[in-house]
Amino acid sequence: MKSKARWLASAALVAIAVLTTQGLSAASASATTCSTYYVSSSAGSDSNDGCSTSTPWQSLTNVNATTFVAGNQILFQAGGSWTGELHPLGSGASGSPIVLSNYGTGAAPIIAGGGAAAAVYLYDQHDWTVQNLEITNTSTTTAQRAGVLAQNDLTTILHGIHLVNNTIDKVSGHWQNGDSQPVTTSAISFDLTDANKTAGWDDVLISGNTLANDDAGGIYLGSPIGLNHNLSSTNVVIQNNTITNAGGNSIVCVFCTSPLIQYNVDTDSGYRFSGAALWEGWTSNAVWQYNEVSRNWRALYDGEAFDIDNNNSNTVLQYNYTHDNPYGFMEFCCNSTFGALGTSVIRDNISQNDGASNAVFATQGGIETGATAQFYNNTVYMGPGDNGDVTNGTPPSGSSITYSNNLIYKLGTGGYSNTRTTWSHNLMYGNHPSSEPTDASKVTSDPKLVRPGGAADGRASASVYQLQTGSPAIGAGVLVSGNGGLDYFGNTVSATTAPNIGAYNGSGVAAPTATYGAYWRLDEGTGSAAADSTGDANSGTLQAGASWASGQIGTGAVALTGASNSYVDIPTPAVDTSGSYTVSAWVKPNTLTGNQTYASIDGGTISPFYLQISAGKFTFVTRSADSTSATYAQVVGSAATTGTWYQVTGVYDNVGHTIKLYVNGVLQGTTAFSSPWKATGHSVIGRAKWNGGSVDFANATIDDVRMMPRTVTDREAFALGTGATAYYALDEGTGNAFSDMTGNTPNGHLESNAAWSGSGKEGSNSLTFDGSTGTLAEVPVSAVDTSKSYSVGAWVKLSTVSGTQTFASMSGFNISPFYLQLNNSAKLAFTVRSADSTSSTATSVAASASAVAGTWYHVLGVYDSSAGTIALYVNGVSQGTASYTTPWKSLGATVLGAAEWNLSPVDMTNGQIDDVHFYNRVLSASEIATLSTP
Amino acid sequence: MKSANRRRATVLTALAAAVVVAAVIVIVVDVTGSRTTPPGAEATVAKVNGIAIPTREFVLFLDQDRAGVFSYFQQHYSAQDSATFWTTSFAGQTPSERLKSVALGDVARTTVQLALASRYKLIPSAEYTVFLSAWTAENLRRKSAIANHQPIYGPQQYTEANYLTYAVGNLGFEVQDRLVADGTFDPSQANLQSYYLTHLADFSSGRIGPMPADFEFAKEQVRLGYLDAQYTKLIDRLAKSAAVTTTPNMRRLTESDCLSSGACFSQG
Repeated sequence: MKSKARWLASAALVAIAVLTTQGLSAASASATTCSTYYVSSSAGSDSNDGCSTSTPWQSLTNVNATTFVAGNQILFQAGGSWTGELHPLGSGASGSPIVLSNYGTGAAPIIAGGGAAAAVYLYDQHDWTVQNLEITNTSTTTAQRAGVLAQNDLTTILHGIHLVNNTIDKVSGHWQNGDSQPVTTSAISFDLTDANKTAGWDDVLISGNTLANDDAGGIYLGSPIGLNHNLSSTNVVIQNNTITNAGGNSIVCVFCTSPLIQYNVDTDSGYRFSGAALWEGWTSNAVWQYNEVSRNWRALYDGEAFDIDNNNSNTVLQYNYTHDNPYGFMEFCCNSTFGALGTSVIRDNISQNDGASNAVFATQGGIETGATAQFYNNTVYMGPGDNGDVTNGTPPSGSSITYSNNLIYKLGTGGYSNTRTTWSHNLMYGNHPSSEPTDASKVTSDPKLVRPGGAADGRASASVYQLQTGSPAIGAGVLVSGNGGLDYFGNTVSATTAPNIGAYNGSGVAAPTATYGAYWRLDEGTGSAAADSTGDANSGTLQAGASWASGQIGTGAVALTGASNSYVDIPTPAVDTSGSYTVSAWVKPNTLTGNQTYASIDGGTISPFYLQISAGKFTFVTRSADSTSATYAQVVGSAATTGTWYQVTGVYDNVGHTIKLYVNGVLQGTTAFSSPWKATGHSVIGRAKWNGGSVDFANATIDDVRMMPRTVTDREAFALGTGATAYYALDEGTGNAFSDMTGNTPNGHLESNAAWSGSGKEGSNSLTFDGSTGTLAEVPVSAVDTSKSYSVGAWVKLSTVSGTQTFASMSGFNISPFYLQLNNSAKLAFTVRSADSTSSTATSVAASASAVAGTWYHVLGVYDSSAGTIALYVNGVSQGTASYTTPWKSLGATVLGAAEWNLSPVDMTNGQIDDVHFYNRVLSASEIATLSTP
Repeated sequence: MKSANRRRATVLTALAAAVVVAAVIVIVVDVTGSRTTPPGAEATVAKVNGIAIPTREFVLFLDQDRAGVFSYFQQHYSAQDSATFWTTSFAGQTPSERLKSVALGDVARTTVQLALASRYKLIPSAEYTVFLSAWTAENLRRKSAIANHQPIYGPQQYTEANYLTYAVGNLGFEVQDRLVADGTFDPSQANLQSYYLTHLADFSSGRIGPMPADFEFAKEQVRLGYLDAQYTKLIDRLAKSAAVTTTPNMRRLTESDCLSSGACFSQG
C-alpha cells in the first residue's frame, strides 16, 4: 500500500509540474496587475502572476520592478525568507496606503537585507504601511545600514508612512565620532535631505514594533547634519515599541512639531555608540510620556534616559519610569547658546537608582539664556550604592530652573548644584549632603513609600512608590498651575488644592497584606528594612538601637544591645498562634542576664510564646491566655555561653498538644500544652510583651529568623538547627518535584525513570533510580559552595553493587566537583577532583569493606578546607581521610542519583536514595552520629 | 519531502482541472500519516537541569533564531528558501537541525539565568509556569489599568517573548549584586583596574571629549562593565554545561511543520 501511494504521489507531482509551467502566463510581472500580490519564498515562482496564494511570486525581483498604486497589498508568506533590499515602487494615497504585510500561518516573513544599505527602502514615496514582518540586515563588514529606511530628498512633505507590529533585529549599522547623525543607519531611519529646509514628514506612525540588537540605533527621524531645518515633521506618533540593546540612540525626533512618544520600553541600550536613549532636537511641543527606560549606557557622549537637546522648545516629559541608568534620568544639552528653549516641563516621573555615574537631573547648563525648566512632582530614589548627584551643571545667567514638590529619597552620598535653581515644597529624605538646596517648605521626614527601591522586581509598574496613609508628603506640595491634572498613577491632581509631594497624588494606600509564614534572613546589611524572603510581606524594620553585623547564615545578621529601642519590628503576626507553628532563630548572646526574648508575637497584654533565654538557659514558653495571670508551659533547654552561636527552635503542635524546644537541632524536651490563643499584634525579633509593655530586650546578635505555620519533624528541626544549606527529605511521594525544607534551594525534579519508592529509610518515602541513562533527580542550583568546607550525606540502598554509581554530586562546567558514590570496586567512596576538567586528578576515600546490595547505608563526605582533607563516613564510622587542597567552586545544578563527566550524566544509581543533607561546613562527630542513626 | 507534498497538494486544490488528482494526493498523504501534529503548547519538549521547557517557550526561541539560521545557510552555502530548504542537508546538517540546536542553546541560556535568580530568591523558581503567571498577571494589570483609565508604562500588552526578555534582563542585573555580595564576583580595585586597562575604549569622559576617562572618574562605569562581563562569562559557561535533554514531544515538534513554517501549535 505504501509504495503504491508513493508512486501515485510522484506521478501527480509530475503532473503538477507540467501544469504549473504550461498553464500560466509567463508575462512580465508588472504587466499582470493584481490588487493583492502574494510572494512565497518556498513555493512561489517569479513567472507566476503573483495574484493569488496559489500563483505567488517567489523573490523580491518582481516586487522591486513593480510600481504599485493606492490600495495594493504585497503579502509575504509566513515562514518565508527573502534576502536583499526590498524597494517596491509607487505611492499610495491618503487613507489608501500600499501595504506590505504577511499571509498564511507561521513565523513572520523575514526580509533579510543581508548587508544592503537598507532591508526595506522607500525613496521619496508616501502612504505606505509596513506591518507584521521581521526585518534584519546582518553583515560581517562595517557600514552604515538601516532596517527600514524612508528617504525624503524633495522639498515637500511625504505623508502616511506607518510601521506597525514588525520585528526589526540584528541590523549591522555603524557610527563613529565625526560621522553625521545616524539617520541612515538605525533600525528605523527617516532621513530628510539637508539640501533644503522644507522636506518633512506628516502622519508617521511607528507602533508596536520590537527592535532588538540593532546598530547603530533604534528609531531616528532627522537629517544627516541635524541643524537649521524647518520644523516640518508633523503628526509623528512613536508608541508601544519594545527596544532592547539598541547600539546607540533608541528614539530620536529632530525637526518634529508636537510629536507624541509614549508607551515605549527601552532596555540595555547605548553600549556601542554615542547618545542618550530618548531625545529630540529642533523639536517643539513634544510629549514624551509613559515610557520605561532602564540600563542605558554612555558609549561616548550623553547616555541619559532622556535628553532635551538643542533647539527644542516647550517639551513635556511626564509619566515616565526609569531605573538603573547610570548616566541619569535626563539631561539638557548643551549650553547657553545651543540648548533647550522655552519652558521644559518635567513632571510626575519616577526614577529609581539612576545617575550613579553622573546625576539624576544632569547638565542644568544645557538650557539657553532666557529659557526655563520646571521639575515638579517627580519621585527620585537613589539606593545605598547610588552615590551620583541629584543635579549637576549650572543654568546660564538669565535662565533658571525650579524644583517643586519633588520627593528625593537619597541613601547615597551625591550632592546638588544649586546656582540659579529654586527649590520649594520638596521632600528630601535619607542622606543630607552639605550642598542640599535651601527650601523654605522642605520636608525631611520619612515619606512612607510603600517599598522604596522595590520597583524593577519584574513588575513594570513602580507601584511601590505610592505613599502609605499618614505620609508627611500628602498635601504638602505647592499648587502648580497647568499641572496636567494627573499624577503618575492616574490619580487626579487638582487645579485648586495643594497636591502631594512626589509622583503619587492619591490619599495613601495600605501597606501590602501580610500572610502567614515568614523568613527574615537579615542579610540586608544596610538601611532599616528586614525583608520577609517568603514573599509574604511580613516586612520588618530595624528600630533605632538595632544595627547590622556579619551573620551566621548568609552575609548579615542584626545586632541588638538590650536597649529598649533595639529590636526588629514587624507590624503583622507572622503565624496564627492558635494553631500549630514553629519559631526558629540563630542567636549569639552577648549577656545571659535576665529574660531575653529572641522572637515573639504581641498579644493585647502579653505574648503567646517566648523563644528566649531565661536564667542563662534557652527556654520556650507558651502562655494559656492573654493575661499576666495565665498559666504557662515551658521547655527549659541547655545553658548558653556568650559569644557562641546557637540555633533555637520552638514548636507548638496543635494536634498532639505539646510544645518542644530544640537547641542546635537537639530536642531539649517536650511539654504538654493545650491552651493556645491567637495573638494579632506585631511580630518582634529581640523583645516580648508583658503586662501591656515591652520587655525582655535581647542583648545578642540574631540571624535567620523563621516563623512557620506548621510543626517541623525532629529531622527538620535538626536540619534547621545544624544550619543545613539544603535538606531533601524526599517524602513527597507523588508528582515529579521534591522540596528543600530549609527554603534555600528551589524544588528539584525527577528525570527519566526516577520515581517514588513508597517507603524510605527516614520518613514516609524515598526516591528510586533504575540505573538507566539520564535517570536522576536534579535541583537547578548549587546546594553548597564547593570552594569552602562542605558536607554531603545521604541514605542509600543499592539494588546492585556493580558499576560506579553516584548518589549525590553537583555540576561544574565540565565535570562534578565531588562524587558521593559507590566506586568501581563496589566500595562506598567520596571522590573529589582537582579542577573542572576531565584531565584533573581524583582524590578519593573509599570504605574498607565492600558494600552489599539491599542494605541501607548512610554515606557522608566531608571537605575540610582548613585541614586540607576530605573524609568519608559510612554509617557514622570514619573510613579515613585524604589530602585535598585544590577545591573549586561549581555553580551548576545539584544532582541526586548521577554525576557529570565531560558535560554528560554518568554513574547512574541503581537503588534508593533518601534524606539528603548539604552543609557548607565540617560536621561534628555528634552531628554525624545523628544523621547516620535512623 | 512531507512539507513539499503538502504544498504541492495546496497548489493542486486551487486548480480546477486537477481537482480529482488533488483529492487523491490529499488522501494519500493522510493515509500514510506523513504529517505529524505538533505537541500542545504546554507539553514538555526539553529539560534544562531538570527544569521543564514547554513547547510554547521553545517556540519563542525558534522564532527568535529563525532569521539567523536562514542567514547562516545563505552566507555559507548560498542557500535560499525553497520547498525543501529546511530538510536539505548542507555538509551534514539540515537547517531544521541547526535551528533546533541553536534554540536549545538559547533556552538553556535563559533557564540557567532564571535558576540563578531563583538561587538568590529573586523569583520563587525557574519553572516556566512561574514566568507565565507573572506575564499573564502583568498583562491583566495593564488591561485593567487601561480600562480604568489608569496609566501604564511601556507597551499596552507585552508579548510572551518580549516579557521574557524584559524579565530576564531585570533579573540578570539584580543577580550581579548578589554575586558580589556572596563573593562569587570580586570587583576589587585590582580587578577593576585590570578591566579598565583592557577596555579603555568603553570609558569615555562624556561631553568633555572622546578621550578615555581616568580610572577614578570612570570607576562606577568600570565596575558596571566589569560585573556585566563577568556575568556574561558565567552564564555562557553555565549554559554550556547545563544538562539539556529532549523528550519525545520534541521529535513530534521537529517532524511537524513547526520548524519549516513557524506554525508550531496544534490546532484545537
